[in-house]
Amino acid sequence: MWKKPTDSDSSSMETRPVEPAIEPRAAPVTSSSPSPASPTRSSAQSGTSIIGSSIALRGDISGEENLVVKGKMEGTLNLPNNDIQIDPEGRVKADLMAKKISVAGKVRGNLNGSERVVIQKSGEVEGNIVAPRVVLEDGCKFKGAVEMNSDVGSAPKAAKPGASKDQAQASSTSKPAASAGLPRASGSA
Amino acid sequence: MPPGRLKFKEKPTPTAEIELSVPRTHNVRSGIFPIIRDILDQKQISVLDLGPPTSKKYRYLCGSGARVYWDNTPGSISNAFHGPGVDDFSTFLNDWGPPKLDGPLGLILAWIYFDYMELEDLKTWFIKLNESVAIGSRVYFLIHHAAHISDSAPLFDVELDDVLRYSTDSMSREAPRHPPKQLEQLMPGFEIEKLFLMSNGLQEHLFYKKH
Repeated sequence: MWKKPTDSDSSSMETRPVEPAIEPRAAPVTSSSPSPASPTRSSAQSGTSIIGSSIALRGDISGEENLVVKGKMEGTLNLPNNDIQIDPEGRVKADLMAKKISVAGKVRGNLNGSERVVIQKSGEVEGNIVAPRVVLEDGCKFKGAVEMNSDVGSAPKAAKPGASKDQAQASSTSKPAASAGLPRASGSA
Repeated sequence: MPPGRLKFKEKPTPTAEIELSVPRTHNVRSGIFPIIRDILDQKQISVLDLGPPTSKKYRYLCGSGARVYWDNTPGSISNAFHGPGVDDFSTFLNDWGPPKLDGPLGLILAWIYFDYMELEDLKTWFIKLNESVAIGSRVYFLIHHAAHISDSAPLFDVELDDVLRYSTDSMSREAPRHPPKQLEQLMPGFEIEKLFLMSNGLQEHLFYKKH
């Protein structure tokens, strides 16, 4: 049977603002350029901040959280213990330093990954890369120099002459071939 | 004749024949890459790879500590051969420039591109490249000895065990067959250091800048 809502019920449904699923934090990232509102959103569960697609940010960002860039960003990004992900719509003109850097959008600047740098198929990078592991997916656009920083000990070495193919592959990264940046279809299988 | 019906007096035009390009993958062991690896192991050098960047080449070259320059953006040689192409390669080459470097290039990987360039274009390319090389620089390239070569330039990759991987298409063109001595004349100061004829008719060349 239908029950007429009481005054207390209606007041609780109407005007109270809904708490966002992604809770903005006071300072998930720091920016050198002051902005009236926090330009990023942060997921409390995953510890990831997001620069939304409608955000254009200029300044330096540093912090202790992962960062996803969907909008535009200019300056420097320094998250040495965390990961940076540039989504396909992300446009970044900055030097990036992080543990893992994944680029699916456009980046103009140097990329320094202490663990790994991945340029995805849709990614476009103009700048130098320094990382112990770099994945260049088929179709990515890249202009610059790549250097494997030797201070990280996990860098694979080329096989010695006469070494079997299995040995050679074992000495390389353990990533599956599909994601290890195979050349274009026209180039090899 | 009832309306809406057409009567053909002539035979309809036959369907045009379409030539399909079927890619074929090749694996062949290189005789010069073991030498290149030794060179890379001895000292850290800068490498210019004219082909597109791949993870395999990164592992091979950067694993030995080399700094590798890549460019497959519009305006690059890689994009001209493996991208949408260029209308006039000579005009394209006039606008092309080597990367801005801190020091001279130790090694240039030109792969098979000389087979797809006219001698005049090669001359222009070497003049442009001359400012980025020094005594001790090397150029690695391949020349096909077959009468016909793949219509589009194959894209080469190198495995850690010195096996070259590339694919050709079934459509072919006449091979220019630039003789090594002629190429040597085009490359100021460079001399043939090593030639290696591979099992599939491709000849590897390693040129060394002596003066």
